[in-house]
Amino acid sequence: MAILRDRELTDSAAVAPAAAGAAVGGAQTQSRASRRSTLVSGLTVLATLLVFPFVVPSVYLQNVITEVLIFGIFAMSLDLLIGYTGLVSFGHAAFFGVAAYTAAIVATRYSDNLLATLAAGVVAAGLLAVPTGGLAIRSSGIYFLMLTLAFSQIVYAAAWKWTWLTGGSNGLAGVPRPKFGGFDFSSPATFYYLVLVFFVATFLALRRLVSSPLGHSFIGVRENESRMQAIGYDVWRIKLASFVIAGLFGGLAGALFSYYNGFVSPHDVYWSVSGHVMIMVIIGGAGTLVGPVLGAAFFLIVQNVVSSQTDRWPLIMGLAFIFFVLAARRGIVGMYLDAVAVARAAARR
Amino acid sequence: MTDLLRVEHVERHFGGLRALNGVDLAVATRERLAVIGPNGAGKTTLFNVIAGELSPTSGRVLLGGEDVTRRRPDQRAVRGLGRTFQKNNLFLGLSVFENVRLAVQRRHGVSWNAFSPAASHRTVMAETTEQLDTVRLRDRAGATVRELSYGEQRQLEVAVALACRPRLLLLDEPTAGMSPAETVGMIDLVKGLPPDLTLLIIEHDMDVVFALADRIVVLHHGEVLAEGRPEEVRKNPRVMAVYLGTDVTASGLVGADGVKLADCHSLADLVGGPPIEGERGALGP
Repeated sequence: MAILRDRELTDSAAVAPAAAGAAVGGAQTQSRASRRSTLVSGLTVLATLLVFPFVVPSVYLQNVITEVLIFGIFAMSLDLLIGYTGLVSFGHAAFFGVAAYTAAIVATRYSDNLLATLAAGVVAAGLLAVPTGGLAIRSSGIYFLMLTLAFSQIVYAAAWKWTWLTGGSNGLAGVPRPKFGGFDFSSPATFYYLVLVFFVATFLALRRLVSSPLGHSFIGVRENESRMQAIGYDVWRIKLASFVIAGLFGGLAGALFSYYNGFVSPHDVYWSVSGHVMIMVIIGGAGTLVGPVLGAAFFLIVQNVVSSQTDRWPLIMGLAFIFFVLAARRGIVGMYLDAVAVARAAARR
Repeated sequence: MTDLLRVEHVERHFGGLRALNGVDLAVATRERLAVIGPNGAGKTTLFNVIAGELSPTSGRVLLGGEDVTRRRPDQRAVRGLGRTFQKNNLFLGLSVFENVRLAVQRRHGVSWNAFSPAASHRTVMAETTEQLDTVRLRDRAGATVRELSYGEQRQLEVAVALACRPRLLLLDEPTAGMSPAETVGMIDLVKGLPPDLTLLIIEHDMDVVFALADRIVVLHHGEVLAEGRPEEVRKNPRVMAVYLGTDVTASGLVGADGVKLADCHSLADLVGGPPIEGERGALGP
C-alpha cells in the first residue's frame, strides 16, 4: 500500500502546474513548453521503434522487443487499476489468459483472421471482467486482492480441466499468426509492426483516458473513496468501469501473446503471471503508464539475459524487486524524475 | 410548510446503546439550523444518518419531500445534499483545483467522458475557478492539499462541498481545530454563502453557533432536549441543567469567553452574556 501512497506525488507533480496555469491564467507558456518536450520525446521513441527492425536484423531481439510491447500493453492495463484507481488486483492474468485461449481457439478452429480472433479474445476478457469485477469490488484492500486471485485461479482450473476446449495440460499448440485482408503477419518483423500499432494505440487511448474526466474520477476514487461518495459519485460503478477497461486491454495483450507464442497453456493463466505483471508495474512506477512499460522491458530483458546464464533468474529478479520496493518506491520513472529534479537544482545553482 | 429536510422519529442503536432515541427534526428551506449538545449526545450519529453514512434502526429521513432513508450517500448528494467533514477529508495528493473540479465535473455530468481531456471542458474549468474565488483559495489553485495550512484545508473542505451546489449543506464542526483568527474567517465565509442555501451545522464552538444559526436544536442522550431561537435556547432551564450537569463537565465544552463549562455558574457565562450576535471580542484580532 505504501507504494500507492508514494506514487501520488508523481501524479500531482505532473498535473498541478497545468491546473494552476488553467486556473490563474498565467504559466500557460511553461505548460506548453513541457507539452512540446513530451511530444518530442514521444516521437523520438516512436521513430526508434519504427526503424528498429531495419537497424537490428536479429530475429531474437525483434522477438524480445515484440514481447516487451505485448507485456507493456498488459502492464499498462494493470496500471489503470493499481496506479490510477487504487485497486490492487492480483488476478489480472485471468483476462490475459482467457483472451489468449479464446483467440487461440478461434484461430485454430474457425478463422485466423486478425479482427475475428482479436475481437473474440477481447470480448471474452470483457465478459469475464464484468461479473468478477462486479463481485470483487464489493470488497477492498487485501480482500479485493484475494478475490481477484481466487477468480483467476478458477480460470486456471478451468483451463486445466476443460480438456475438450483448452487441451488441458497439453495446452493449445499451433496457433497461427493472424491474417488480415490477404496480408499475413508471419515474419517476425511484420508481426512486430502489428504489435507496435496496438501498443501505440493502447498507450494513446489510456493516456487520453487518465487525463479525461473519467480518468480523474478513477484518481479521485484512489485518493479518497468516501469523499467521492459525498460529492455524488457512484464509486462502485467507477471502479467497475476501471476494472472492465483494464480487463479489455489485458485481453488485447493476451490475444497478441497467443499469436506471438503460437501456444497457450494453463501456465499463462497461473497466478505467477499476475505476479509478474504486478512486479512490472511496481518496478516501472505505478500511476505513470510509461513506467509499467519500462518495467516490462526491464523484467523481460533481465529474464532473457540472466536465464541464458543461469537457471536462477527469479532470484536476480527478486533481488531487483526488493531493491525497488525498499529504495525506489516510485520505480524507474520515479528515479528518473528525481534525477531530473537534482540536475535542475544543480543547474540553477 | 416547505421543509427541505425532515428527520422523522429516527432511532439508531449500537448494540445496547441507543445513540439516537427517536429524533424528530425539520429544516425549512433557507433556514440555518445548528445542532448542539454535549459529547455523546448523538450529534455525529444524527449527522451520519442524514448524510447516509449510517442507516437508522428505525425512522425516516426525507430530503425535499422524498424518502431517502435507504439511499446511499452519493445518491443523496445527487439529490442536493452536500456535506463537509469534521476531520478534513480531501483528495490529499491532488491540487486544490482538482479537488474542486471533481465536484464540479460530477454536477455537469461529464464524469463518464473518457475521450476528451478534462482541461478541455471550459465550463467546468471556469466554474472551478469561480468556486475557488468564493472561498478565497484561487491563488492556491496549483498547490496540493498537503501544502495547505490547516485553515486553508478547512476552507477547501467547504469549497468542495459547495462546488456540488447543494440545496442543503451539512457542516460538521466547520471550525474544529481552527485558530481564533481562522474561526473568524470561517464564520465570515459561512455568513457570505448564498441566502437560498439551507444550512445544518453541528458545532462545538458556541460563538460560531450563535453567530450563524437562526435556530438551535439541543440534543441530549439521543433525544431532542430543546429547540428554538438562540436566545430562547440560552434561557431554557433544561438546557442549562444539561450543560451544568455532570455530562457537561466531562465534555469539556468551551464557552464564548473561553470559559470551561465546568466553571460556568449559569448559561449566561457559557454563552458569554448578552452581546452574542456578531460578537468578535472573544475571538482575538
